[in-house]
Amino acid sequence: MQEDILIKNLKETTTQEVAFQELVSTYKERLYWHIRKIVLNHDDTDDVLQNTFIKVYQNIQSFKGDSAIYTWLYRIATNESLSFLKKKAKEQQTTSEALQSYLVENLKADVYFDGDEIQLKLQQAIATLPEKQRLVFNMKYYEELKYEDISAILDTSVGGLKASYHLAVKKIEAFLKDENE
Amino acid sequence: MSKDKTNMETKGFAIPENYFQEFDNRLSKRIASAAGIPEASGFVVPKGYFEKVETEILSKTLPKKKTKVIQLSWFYKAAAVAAVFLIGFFISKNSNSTITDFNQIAISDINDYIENGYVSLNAYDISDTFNDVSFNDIEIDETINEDEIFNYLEENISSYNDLSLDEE
Repeated sequence: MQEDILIKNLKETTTQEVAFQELVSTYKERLYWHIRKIVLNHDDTDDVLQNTFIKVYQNIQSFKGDSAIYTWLYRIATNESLSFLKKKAKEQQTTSEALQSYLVENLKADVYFDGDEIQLKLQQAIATLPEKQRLVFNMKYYEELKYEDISAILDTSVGGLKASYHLAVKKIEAFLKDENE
Repeated sequence: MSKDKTNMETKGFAIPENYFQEFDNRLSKRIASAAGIPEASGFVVPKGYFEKVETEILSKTLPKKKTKVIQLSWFYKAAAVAAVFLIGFFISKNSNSTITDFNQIAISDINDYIENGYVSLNAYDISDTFNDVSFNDIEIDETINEDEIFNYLEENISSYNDLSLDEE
């Protein structure tokens, strides 16, 4: 279904149900992996993914269509994920950086993480990055989003994103080298 | 810039569709790979998760299906209400006995129940239900005195407009 027709159907009561089913079916996996790279744990990802779609459903009438629906979905998913982490850090009375280390440490015992040593080290390296670099690296490297789309999602210039990505790669490379030495 | 592009195209060289749009992506990937960053992340999901989560999301968002309401005629409404009333009446009256025969219910109990207003009947329901029934087809066991009918109509019918009778 074309995007403009999908949006129109999402806003009309009579067609909303079928259109929303299609939206969930189309984007659930992509959004899951986007959220998972931010919150790391499967159960937390499940919560955030469901909250994301509930927010989408509740706010579909306010979607103006000035950006692609796909970037709007990613923006909501990103905001939900970051809010979730902030809430979790507050509950645990810790900092965002300490929470990132804690989440990566938990991956060792996570049944839904079967990465090898180098993959675990990569997650440790990503956890040391500032929030924006972490997001850009994951969206570019794993999700293969275009800089133009990431720019619309994170509301940052393409030039700024490219700089963030290259900085992130350099830092990760340095981290992995240090670990191997 | 656009002049150069035109020259390149006219010299017979061609490039795959979306080559330049995807170039950034491939370059970024190469830079990361060259830095020794693994391609796979190591994250997995439980089996059947994506089918399950879709059902959960839809059940939490979409409105629940409404039960279809079937309009009953006054006769069935009255019968249903009377049945519920009578079953309740019997259970409370004699909890050790079981209902075996409808004839055990006193007609006066049913009349009282209807006369006390537990069943609301209006002229429209009555005329609608008996629209195709001729007066001659109605069998009445007891003979009703004409004076009784006249008195009843005078006391209960405020206007002849309440009766919907076809002219023959």
